[in-house]
Amino acid sequence: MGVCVVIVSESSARRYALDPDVRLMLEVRGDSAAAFEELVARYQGRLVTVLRHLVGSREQAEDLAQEVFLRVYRSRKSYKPGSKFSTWLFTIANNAALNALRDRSRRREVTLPSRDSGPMGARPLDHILQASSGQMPARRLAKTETREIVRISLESLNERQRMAVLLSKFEGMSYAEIAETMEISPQAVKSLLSRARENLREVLQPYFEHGANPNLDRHDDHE
Amino acid sequence: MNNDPSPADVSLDEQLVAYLDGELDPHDSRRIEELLASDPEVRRRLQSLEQTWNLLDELDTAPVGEMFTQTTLEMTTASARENVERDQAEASKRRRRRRLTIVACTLAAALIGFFAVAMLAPDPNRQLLEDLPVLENLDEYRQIEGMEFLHLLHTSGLFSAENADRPDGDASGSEGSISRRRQYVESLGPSAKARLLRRQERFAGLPLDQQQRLRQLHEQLQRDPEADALRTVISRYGEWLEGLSSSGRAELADLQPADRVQWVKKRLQAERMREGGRRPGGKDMKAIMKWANKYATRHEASFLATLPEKQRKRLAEMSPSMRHRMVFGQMWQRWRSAGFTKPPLATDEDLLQLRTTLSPSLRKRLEALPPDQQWGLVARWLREGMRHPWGPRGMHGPLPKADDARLAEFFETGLTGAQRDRLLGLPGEQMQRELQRLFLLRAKPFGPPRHSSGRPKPGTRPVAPKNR
Repeated sequence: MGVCVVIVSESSARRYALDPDVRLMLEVRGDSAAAFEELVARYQGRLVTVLRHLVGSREQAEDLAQEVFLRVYRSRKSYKPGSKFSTWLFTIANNAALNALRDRSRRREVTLPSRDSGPMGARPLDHILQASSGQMPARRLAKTETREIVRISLESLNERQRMAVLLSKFEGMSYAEIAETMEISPQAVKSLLSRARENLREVLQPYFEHGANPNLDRHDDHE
Repeated sequence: MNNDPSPADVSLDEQLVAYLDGELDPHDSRRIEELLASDPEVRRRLQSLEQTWNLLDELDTAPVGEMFTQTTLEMTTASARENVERDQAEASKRRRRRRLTIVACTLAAALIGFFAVAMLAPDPNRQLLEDLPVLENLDEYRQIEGMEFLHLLHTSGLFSAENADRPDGDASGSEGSISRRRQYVESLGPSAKARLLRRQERFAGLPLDQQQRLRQLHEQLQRDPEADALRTVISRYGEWLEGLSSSGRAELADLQPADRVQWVKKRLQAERMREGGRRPGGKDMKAIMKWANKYATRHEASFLATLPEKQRKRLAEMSPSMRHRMVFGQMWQRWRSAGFTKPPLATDEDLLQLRTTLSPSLRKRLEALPPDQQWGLVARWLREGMRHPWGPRGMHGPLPKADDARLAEFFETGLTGAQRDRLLGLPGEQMQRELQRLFLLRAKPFGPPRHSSGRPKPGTRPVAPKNR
């Protein structure tokens, strides 16, 4: 899979040249190791976060992030400031992640088997909702439970919906930027995000209909 | 999951989500706001979508540690290095292909040229055969300005036949008729033929008047009644010149023939006084250095076995040529510690081999001494040889880098035994660095320029040697 190189007009090149990260990338193009280190430092956390929620495993996310940075470095000579640097970077990340997920499904691995085991482990959503919280302090359980439920609901989305949600939520990208990153039309992004949010709503609806801590409330009632 | 929503619901959801994301244009935004104001169901749906979206804030971020940054950068550096190496390999392949093409073209051109010349021009081999006697003595003749200087040298007795170790007359088949010369050339081995070709190239590279002068010198020499004696003088003088420093040669070249002979005379007297008249000539000195190299090679493995394990390991990490130098340096030091009686591991066979390579007169000098003193004399010759331009470098063969050669010489001759042992105890790279540091600190030059005392002049500061 190649890295997307955008042919741009002079005016857009000038516009994006104002992006400090684009300027850094231009320095990387001129073989500045310090600029590359700066870019890695700026983006590594964001990239690993998005990739982790996309592929479900912290370890694989870090491997993918390193692969992405490596691709950035290797394609530095052909880099042209055609868009925001983050858009270019996440385009590479999207391609790398989709490839990795495809490879994984080809190897007949379970869809999301290897996500990090938090305190709740890798249990399905309904199981969590039904689980007794009697063994854990109430506040801690509420927080970890909420996070786990949200994470599982995110994982219930397909890869493309998940990516669109992550770019929108974590990177604050506009539809146009998500469209560029995922190499689809803005209209496709619109319907992708709509379907994703509807799916999330369906999964999480029972959760927030019971208030902030449904299980906890239920548990307290039992006690 | 619920049942699939209707297209109208999908469209409304899309609009509501786009409204929440601020992606609607003002017109569509107003329309949604009107709908929200009028329809509580739509309001509830919007609220539900927003609440769900806000729950995603619970998702944890993934801070990464310094280790991740470091490994990422290392991976990138390694990849960049691989790229450079690959590029270099490809460039090297391209160069090789280009070179092959050039060679092929050159060969083709040479073949064409050869046939053209063969048809149109006289036989070039004939010129070689005509110049053969000059080519055979090219180096010697070039040192002789003319017959006047040669006769002066002969008369001075400095290089006369009486002192010659062996008859140096031209006994080769390079004289005589052209057909005899052709037979002689055809009988030569491949390396001798290559040597002859190189000489011919050098001769052809000289200005025409120089070429003519050398031909004339040869003819005059042939006609001279004392031709044989004069040839010996030429040969011995050439040998002596080889051992002269370049500055000495330059000084000599500026003098008139008579003054030059006087200069040579003084120089020889000084040398003989200094060396007790026993310094071997150029050929002998080369033979001695070559023998030393063979001796070191022959006993290298056995000598290594006598070293401590740690030193052996360090030496094993070095390149063969560097290790060879280091081993010779160690052997030399051990020999010196033993008062130059008998070199480590040396046998009678070693001494016999040395004797057979020496000129008769030098061999006589050596054999005149008792066996234990013979080794002392050999050590003295070797020490002299190591100071010369053909010293350790000539002995060990060419080195890939001049710096290595100088460091190796410094290791062999510029360090104390304790320093050497300490260096050999260090890891390879560290040893090189420390050796370099000591070298720069000491800044002791090797070989020429030398002062007659063998020490720097008082008041002069040693200067780091330059690349030779």
